[in-house]
Amino acid sequence: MLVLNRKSKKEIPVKIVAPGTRMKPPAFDANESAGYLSLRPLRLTHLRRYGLAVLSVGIALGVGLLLEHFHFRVPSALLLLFAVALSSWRGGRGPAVLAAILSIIAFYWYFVEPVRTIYIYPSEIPYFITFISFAALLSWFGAIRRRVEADLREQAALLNLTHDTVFVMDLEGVIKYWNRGAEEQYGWTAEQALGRGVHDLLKTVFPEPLEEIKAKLTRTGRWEGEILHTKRDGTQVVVASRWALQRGEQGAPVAILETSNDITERKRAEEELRAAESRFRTFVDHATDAFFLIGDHGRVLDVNRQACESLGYTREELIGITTREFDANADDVFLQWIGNRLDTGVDCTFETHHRRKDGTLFPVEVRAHPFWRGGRRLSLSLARDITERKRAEEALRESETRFRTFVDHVADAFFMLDFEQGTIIDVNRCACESLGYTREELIGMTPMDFDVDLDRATVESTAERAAAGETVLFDRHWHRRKDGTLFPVEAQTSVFWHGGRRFLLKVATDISDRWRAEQQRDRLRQLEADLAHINRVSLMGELAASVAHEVNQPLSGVVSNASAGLRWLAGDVPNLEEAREGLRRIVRDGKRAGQVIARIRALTKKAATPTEKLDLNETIGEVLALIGDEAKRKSVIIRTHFADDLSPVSGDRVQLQQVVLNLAMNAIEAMSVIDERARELAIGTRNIDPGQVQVTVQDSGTGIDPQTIDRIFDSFYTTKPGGMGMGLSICRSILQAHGGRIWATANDGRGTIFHFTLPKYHEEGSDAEVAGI
Amino acid sequence: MPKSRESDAVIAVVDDDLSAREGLSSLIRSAGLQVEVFASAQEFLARPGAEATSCLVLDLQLPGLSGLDLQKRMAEVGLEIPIVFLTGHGNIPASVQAMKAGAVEFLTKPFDEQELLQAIQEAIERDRRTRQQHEEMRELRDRYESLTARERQVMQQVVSGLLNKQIAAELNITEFTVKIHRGHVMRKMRADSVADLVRTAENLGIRSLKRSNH
Repeated sequence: MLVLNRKSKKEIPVKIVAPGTRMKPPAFDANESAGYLSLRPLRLTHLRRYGLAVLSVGIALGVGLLLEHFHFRVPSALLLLFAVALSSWRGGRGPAVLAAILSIIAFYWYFVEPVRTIYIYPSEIPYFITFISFAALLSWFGAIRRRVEADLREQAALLNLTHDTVFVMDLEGVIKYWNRGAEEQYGWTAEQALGRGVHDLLKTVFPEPLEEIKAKLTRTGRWEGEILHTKRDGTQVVVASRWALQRGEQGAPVAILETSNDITERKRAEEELRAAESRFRTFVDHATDAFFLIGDHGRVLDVNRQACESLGYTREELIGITTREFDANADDVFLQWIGNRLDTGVDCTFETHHRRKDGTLFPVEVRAHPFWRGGRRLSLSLARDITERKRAEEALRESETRFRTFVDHVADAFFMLDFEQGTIIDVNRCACESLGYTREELIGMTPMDFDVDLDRATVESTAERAAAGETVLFDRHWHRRKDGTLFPVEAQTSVFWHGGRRFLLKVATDISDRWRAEQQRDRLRQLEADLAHINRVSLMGELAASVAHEVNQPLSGVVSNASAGLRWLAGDVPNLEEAREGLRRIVRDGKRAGQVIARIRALTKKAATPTEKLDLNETIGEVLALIGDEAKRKSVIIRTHFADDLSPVSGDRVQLQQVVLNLAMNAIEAMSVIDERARELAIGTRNIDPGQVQVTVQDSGTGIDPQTIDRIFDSFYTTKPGGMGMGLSICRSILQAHGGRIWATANDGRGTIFHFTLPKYHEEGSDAEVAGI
Repeated sequence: MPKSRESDAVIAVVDDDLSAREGLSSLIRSAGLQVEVFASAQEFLARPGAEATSCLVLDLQLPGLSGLDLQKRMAEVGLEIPIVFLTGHGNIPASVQAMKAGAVEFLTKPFDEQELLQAIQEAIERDRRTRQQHEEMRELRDRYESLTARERQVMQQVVSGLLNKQIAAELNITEFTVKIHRGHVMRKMRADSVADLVRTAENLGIRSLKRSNH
């Protein structure tokens, strides 16, 4: 039976080498071994074996005596002979001899007359010999039997060693034997399986009808095939099964031996391989690259679909032709070169043109990979259509050229710097032209080489700030040309990434023009400031008499009070109280004179005064104090209409006083020829919306010709014989610088009203930035 | 002589400048004089009983009505108060005008205290004299008022230098009657002599009255 199982024969050849050799019996106990071929293993000890002999003889003796007692005449010798046979069969040769001896003794003792003696009559010798012979014969049979059983047991154990499932069924499919392999494979133990219909138990699915299998089996004695079994746990396994028919002595079939091994894994592996192959083919066929399997002499062995489609041939047309027929650049030299390289096992990558069947060409990039099969060098060539790439490259080149042109024509200088080194990697044309270096000279330099305002620390901090995302601006740096001359630039530096690397882009704009304009503006501003100063000084000149009076008044008071004080003290009874009062007034008047002088000094000072928070009422009041005497002498009455809740403004005290002074002096002068009505100078302040303060200076003078009222603020426009024509122009400049404006209106036919406005003071930074006038 | 004592004199100060006002006030008071201060001409004019003032210390530059204006206005209303002018700066035309109009003094600030007090004294004196003359005139006028019409006629003829006989012929009365009237005139007019009477008549402007008749 084992011979049928080729596989197990292969797998465990060593263990089966010497049949009949005493092997260690398989380790399983008697309970599990109730199989068709399993024989009760005898593992009796000598004691048990000999005990069995004694016992069986004893039992036979007992039975014989009992029967005799009831007067049944039975041949007791037969019973004893049976005991010998049993001992021989079960116990072996030794117990058999023992049983024979005991049987003879017992027989003579109990049954042969005279009983209770052992005496062998010569006439009884033949019986005796017969018995001995018979016992010996039985023992011999028993021994043979034992040996056969042992062999069978070992063989059955070997069946259990195989991993294959081995089971035997009768013709109806009832399981007669079930090896360990089957137990493990199907999950059913031998006990559970024996006696059950195998096809029922395993829900066998046959590749062909069972009848045909049986027919074939009957005809040939064998059947092989893959069948599907279901395990106890419900999983299905595919097994390769071999059936062998066992025939009885007469040649009639008695049982079927079924040997199977699990090929589920193998089937799955085969499936996977097939799937992988299919996938691979699909993959290759769907690849966007054309695959060419090239054999000797550049002959095409196989292609994928893309190869066919790209070239316009069918697969059949392509197979067998050489690469020369579609590679436009394939000449002998080239092919030789490629062949040599591939022979050394190196991949080759090259660009060439493929020719379609219709003769058109297209650029391809080919990668050839050599490999060896059966001693032949083959190569797999992957050809990629690079028409698009070529076009894109072309477009990129064009775009780059365009961009380069663009960058070169920009009026700003571009410097591309290496982030770490700070060296120049590239520049545009403007950078070269502005600095007077060639591009080659500039590349490798650092901005510190020509930017005189840069030092190492600034460069580093700039790079840091740029790296943080900031665009770092230098509003005026000086660049030095190759010839040593300097020019101002506004430079901004920012970081950008390209190809995973960091760069700094520095864009420098030549601001020479702007700088010159600023210089001129500064000069002009200085000129205006000078002019304004001249205006103030000249106003002071006009006011000299008035100012002298304003100082003289308190001085006069001082002298009077001091004189009076002396007199108060000189009396027989000094009047201390009066003297003290006088002294207080002297102090007050002295201060007052000092203040007047301070104001004059402030007004005539040339230096610019700071912008501050001003109470316009007070500011104007100080001016009025200076012109009071002038007004008196010109018989002008000054009236003020100051708003008590006037908002403060932000401004330059001296400049705003200069405005009021100019307007007031103009007004006084305008009224100097008026006699028929009161000469009145009215100055008012008030809040107006939105957020402004308005000042009006109104006179009852001659008024301004409505036709020239628009020109009065122009420079050098004057109606006065000795006038410079600067006063009102300066007033306008001052107010514009303060964020205010000035205009004039007629005062109801009798005089003029000048108005000016100023923005209210804002806590948040005096936003009316006063330019230096 | 009610105004003879200095302490009775009231000095008015008109100056728009506080320092000047207070200094002047203290100085004048220290000289034992009474002071009244005014910030403007109008304020001074509005004061009731301005004629009681003995001296006006007046700033030349005043807002509105100036010092000279005030002087003019006072002359117009017959307010004869001696004026001491003060000015912040020497103004010759103004000072000439002021002096012509009868100012006592024209001082430039800051002035010397002595000069000012002297000027004030002079003004007070002048005021006193003026007031005296006014008193005498009023007495003369009272006397003249007490004459009868005939006596005034006779007086006029007498101071014209006519003889009694000529007067009698002129008035068509007897010489004796003329003598009686003449005696009354001399007594009522408290004239000691014809020359005395002539001077009195002159003060009263009688002769000029007769001359105008010519």
